Amino acid sequence: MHDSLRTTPYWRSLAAIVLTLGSLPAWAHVEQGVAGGLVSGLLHPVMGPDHLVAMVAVGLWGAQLGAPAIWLLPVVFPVVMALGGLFGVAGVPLPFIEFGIALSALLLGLAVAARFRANLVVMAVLVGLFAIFHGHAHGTELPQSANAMAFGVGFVISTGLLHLAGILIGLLVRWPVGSAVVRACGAGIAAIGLYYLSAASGLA
Amino acid sequence: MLRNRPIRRWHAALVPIALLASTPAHAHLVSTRFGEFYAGLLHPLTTLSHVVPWVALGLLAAVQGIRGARWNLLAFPLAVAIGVLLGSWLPGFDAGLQWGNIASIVLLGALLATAVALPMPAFLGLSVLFGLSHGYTNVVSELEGRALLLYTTGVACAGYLLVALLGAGALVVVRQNWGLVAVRALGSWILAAGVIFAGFSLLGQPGA
Amino acid sequence: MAGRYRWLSRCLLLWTCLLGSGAAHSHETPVALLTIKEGIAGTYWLEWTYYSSRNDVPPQVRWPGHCFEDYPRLECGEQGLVGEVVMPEIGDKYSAAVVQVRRQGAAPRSYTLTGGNPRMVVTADGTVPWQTIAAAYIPLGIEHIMLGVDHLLFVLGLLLLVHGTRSLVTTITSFTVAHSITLAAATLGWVGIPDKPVNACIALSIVVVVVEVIKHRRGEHCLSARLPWLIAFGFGLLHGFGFAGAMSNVGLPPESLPAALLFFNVGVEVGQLAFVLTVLGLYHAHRVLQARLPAWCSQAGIYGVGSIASYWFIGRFAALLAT
Repeated sequence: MHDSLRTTPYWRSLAAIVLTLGSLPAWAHVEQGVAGGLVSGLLHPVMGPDHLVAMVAVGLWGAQLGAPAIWLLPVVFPVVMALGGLFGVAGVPLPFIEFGIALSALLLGLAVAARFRANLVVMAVLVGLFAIFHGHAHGTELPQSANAMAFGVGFVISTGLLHLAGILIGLLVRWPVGSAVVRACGAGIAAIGLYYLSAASGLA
Repeated sequence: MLRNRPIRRWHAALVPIALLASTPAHAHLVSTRFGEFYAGLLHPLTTLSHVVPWVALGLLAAVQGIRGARWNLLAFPLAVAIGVLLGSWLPGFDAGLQWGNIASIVLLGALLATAVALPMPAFLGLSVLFGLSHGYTNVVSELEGRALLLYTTGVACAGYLLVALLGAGALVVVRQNWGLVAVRALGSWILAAGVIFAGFSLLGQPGA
Repeated sequence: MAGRYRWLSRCLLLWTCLLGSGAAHSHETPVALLTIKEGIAGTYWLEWTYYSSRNDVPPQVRWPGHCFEDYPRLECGEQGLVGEVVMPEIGDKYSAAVVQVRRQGAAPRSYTLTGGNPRMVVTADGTVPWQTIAAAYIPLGIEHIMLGVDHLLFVLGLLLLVHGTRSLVTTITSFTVAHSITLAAATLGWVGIPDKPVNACIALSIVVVVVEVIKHRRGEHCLSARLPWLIAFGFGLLHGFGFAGAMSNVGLPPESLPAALLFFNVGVEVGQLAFVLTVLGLYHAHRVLQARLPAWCSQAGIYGVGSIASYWFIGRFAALLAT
């Protein structure tokens, strides 16, 4: 087995992993589909500020409310958002999308700021409703050449991490000062939502 | 408002990560000795539409408890191996089985998100069914004899590694009081990714 | 400990099926050699030396943009031959290519192109940047251990002999230290040992470890189970000569050799560590899942590995006598 130089070609796959960073351009044209999908999936949720703050607000609100909302809201959100995305892909028209997204940022921010608490099911439905708007806006965003699975994975990871960031900030509520910080964050989010709401309705 | 934003230059920084996750999937095979084993090992692990549902299955096995996870260790890799062999000997059903794979992402994600305790035969049946389907769709080129054996072993090993390591890891995790929640949240992510994938595939977006 | 054998036998059985036929045959690794000799006024002369039963043409070369090939001439103009040279077919039709650049009034430089790194960067002063060496040799090292099933089986045997974390760490470390020593010694030309006897002895080392494992399982007293690092170190010296085989055909200039050696060794250790961690991970996974195979399986697996290693040894020893 050791008779000769073992520079065997078929093992390339493993070497490729190691070398990917080094030999980027050569692979890029082959892998555009997957890489492109993953990159655009990762980026879309963080590209619109109102969308971004609404995601964080979901995490904040969940953390503020404690179990089971702390995990129920972030679990509901991506799934419903994906369904909303389906409507977007299918071309189902949804009125006032930008308005809805901005409104969701405003209302979620206000809920955090006011420490608003309601029946769990009601809150889940409310968050789900917002998620449809958010998903719909992303629904038609898949670049032509990109891999759909990669887009989905990137999109969900990005969204999930935003929720997680919200939850981690939200864990500050254990301390009195932290609780105030969280509420201030909520107020900030509401303000951003308000700005985009006025922009969407043509006032600003 | 979210539309038509160009992917900017700095976004290229994300490309290596994406490539790292995907590169060898398309590396083609050369008909020499152990190449096929590693090609088989890496193909499912580097193809998102395979690795995501396999991860879900490994985690779901842990949710089913120790017995389910243990039997899954045997059932899934075997089913995958049989699937690869079927795919090489009776090709032609790939297109149909792609839908099986898509369904597996959605279904396994949903089962994981809800942390349903399935009856043992139902869980193992599901595992075998998806194993066959995923094995079948992992066939990448005409292989025969020794090469096919090595490739099949590689794919089955990938399945075994995933369900063994993830199954055991998740079993330890779900015993913590936050563990089950974390696993279920992951399940909802998988479900969401599956729904997006299914949507784009169903509605004819390119690249699916 | 019995549980460990049971599950490990699964791995052993796996390798057994993999190795089944033709394990003693050597595989063809076609290597092409390209000599580039500097002429006058940006002209270079190319000369290919290659052998492959599968190809009768040399690998295709993509030169830097300002160079034009008109075999055997290469015109690079005033800039001379600088920039990136790529051979896209390396790793496909050929395993590797060694490119030797002979400039006027300078020592010849060699570059190695492999499937993992089918490119080289030629600089005006002829030095090889360390990044280029790393990009070529780390993958070569990983590849070498991953495809070196005999090395992996030996490591697996060691894992069966050790008890506890401390013993594991010392054993693997001493194997690493030992093979690094002989790899360096052989590559730098301090010690010269022919390939064939080394390979026969490597096969024998697996047989020895398997015998020790079987003895240990029967509860017989054996030194190797008490001091596994000793056996790891001793045979590690041997395996280092085996690793050196991959480095010996590569015509690197002397000043690049230590860096190449370092990166090759890093690659070998990365591959070995990945293997050890995978095996340990599977061991713990099986323990958590309480998944145990029947005793006869592990028995069959261990004996299977022993048989394969003996078969290799006999085959390699016969080949040694035949020459």
